[in-house]
Amino acid sequence: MTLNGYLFDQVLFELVDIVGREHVLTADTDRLPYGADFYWLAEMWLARGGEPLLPDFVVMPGTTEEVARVVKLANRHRLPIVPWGGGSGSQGGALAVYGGIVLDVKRLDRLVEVDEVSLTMAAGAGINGQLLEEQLNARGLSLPHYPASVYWATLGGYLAARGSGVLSTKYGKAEDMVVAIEAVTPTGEVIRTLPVPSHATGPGLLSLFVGSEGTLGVITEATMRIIRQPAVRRFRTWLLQDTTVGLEVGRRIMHAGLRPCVIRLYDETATAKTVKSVLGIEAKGAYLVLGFDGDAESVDLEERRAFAICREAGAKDLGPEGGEHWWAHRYDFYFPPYVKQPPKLYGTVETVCRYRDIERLYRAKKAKLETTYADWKLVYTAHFSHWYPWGVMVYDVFTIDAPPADRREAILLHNRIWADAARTSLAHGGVLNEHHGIGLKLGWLMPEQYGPAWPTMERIKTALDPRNVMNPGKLGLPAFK
Amino acid sequence: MTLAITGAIDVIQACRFCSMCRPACGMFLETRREVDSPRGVALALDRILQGRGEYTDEVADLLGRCDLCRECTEFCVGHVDVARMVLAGRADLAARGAAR
Repeated sequence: MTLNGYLFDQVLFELVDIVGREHVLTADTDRLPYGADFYWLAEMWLARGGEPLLPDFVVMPGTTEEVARVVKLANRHRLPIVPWGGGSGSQGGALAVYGGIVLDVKRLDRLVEVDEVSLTMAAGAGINGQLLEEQLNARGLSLPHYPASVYWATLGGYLAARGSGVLSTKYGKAEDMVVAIEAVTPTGEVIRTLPVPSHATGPGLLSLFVGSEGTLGVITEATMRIIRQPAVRRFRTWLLQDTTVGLEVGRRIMHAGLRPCVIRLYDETATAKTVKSVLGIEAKGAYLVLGFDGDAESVDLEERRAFAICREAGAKDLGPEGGEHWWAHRYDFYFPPYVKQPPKLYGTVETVCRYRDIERLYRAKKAKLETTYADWKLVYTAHFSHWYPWGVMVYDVFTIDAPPADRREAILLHNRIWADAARTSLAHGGVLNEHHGIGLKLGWLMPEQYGPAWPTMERIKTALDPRNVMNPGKLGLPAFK
Repeated sequence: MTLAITGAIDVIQACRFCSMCRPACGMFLETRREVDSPRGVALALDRILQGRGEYTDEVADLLGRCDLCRECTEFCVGHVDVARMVLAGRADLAARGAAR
């Protein structure tokens, strides 16, 4: 609790005046779920009996105007205000670590418009990803953004954290699909970006808010590109000699001008595990899932050209079964009993870099983590699943089954591993993160990553949020004091 | 006296950090509140199991709001038996003479 005595009651009264009593939550039971998003550290802290860091108030506005009024209230009382969508972030970006107000936007969940001429749709930022997709599917349409978090994430969260889904190689990340947004600035003004994302009318205001993780404002509505559901979506799996050959095959497919919706390449460690569980066979090498979608004629043609590249590289055709299985079960690993949970220590230390750097980066990080943390029996696996014309994302994961029993020792080990992984990425042409965001977890490394450009980021924050109330302490921006 | 929720610790631990069944939970779809879901229930009961929470009126209300439709269990890949957790919580409440 950051507010004492009658000041708490005064702020409560004012919040109730804006959104109504039933939309201001103050009971311990109601606030407890906001003590952890999907960040390992917050979950571990709760699992081991730590006192959660909770907001004083959870506010659920029903309109953009209410959001603006709550933000103005936060400025007037100088209270931290933290936007919350689905709470599925893995970086601690939505945690109210300084108390104050959590602004849960899930009541902003209306599908506002579907423009079938332009193939765009607009919806409230709080709409659930799966429920949105079901509404679009009912019209034969789709927002082809399928993150593992689709069942609990929101549209606003997709954009706030620059999220990515499993079909991003063809359709792009959330940031590539956004056309325009409505947002409330840190001082409470309601703004709309230009009606189209491509223009020559000054710097991109849209891209300032996308990826800002709630530090520069609250996204309240978004207009997104959508597609008609493809007639065909097919998958095929291949076994390649090793990761080196697999990376070359993926690059050649991208540089051939093909548009696969999926290129999913597993390193040798992940291959051994995946092929055994999916196809029931022992396999050595690098497992590759390729996917194409669209009209049947185009898919036939693109498959022929991509498969020729695979065969030229000596790949063994494993048929469609493994790929179809992966597509049908792509979210299973995030359900119990498969999802990783404390007491295990784990993290996805993914990054992205250009093709010329990717193999050195991957091998350096694998060696660094496996060697440094051998005593902890750290297991490192990787796959490469978001491919660009210029480079590729490595989705690499570390797991330690038996971390220190003491929670502060566990945090120390966690932070050491993340620092080693991040600095290895930065040293090899990568970045701190490709699609999970920065949040609390990686914020402290942002000045190191940006170098002389970092003060510019800080000045943008100060200019937009002079009282530092909007999700303070995230993205490496100043703490709330 | 042993708490009934001790027998549902597997469910509590499966659900306390998971919201994958959110699109199927009628309670959540009605209010959109984080607490109105298997995760919200599991977190509240986990604190009680840890000796850091109590069966307050709010917890009693929460347990009463679940209508045991079991849609979450149907939706869950692991078919976690959420109703068993909720019923165990209600049994603890009944044992305290605070049943709703």
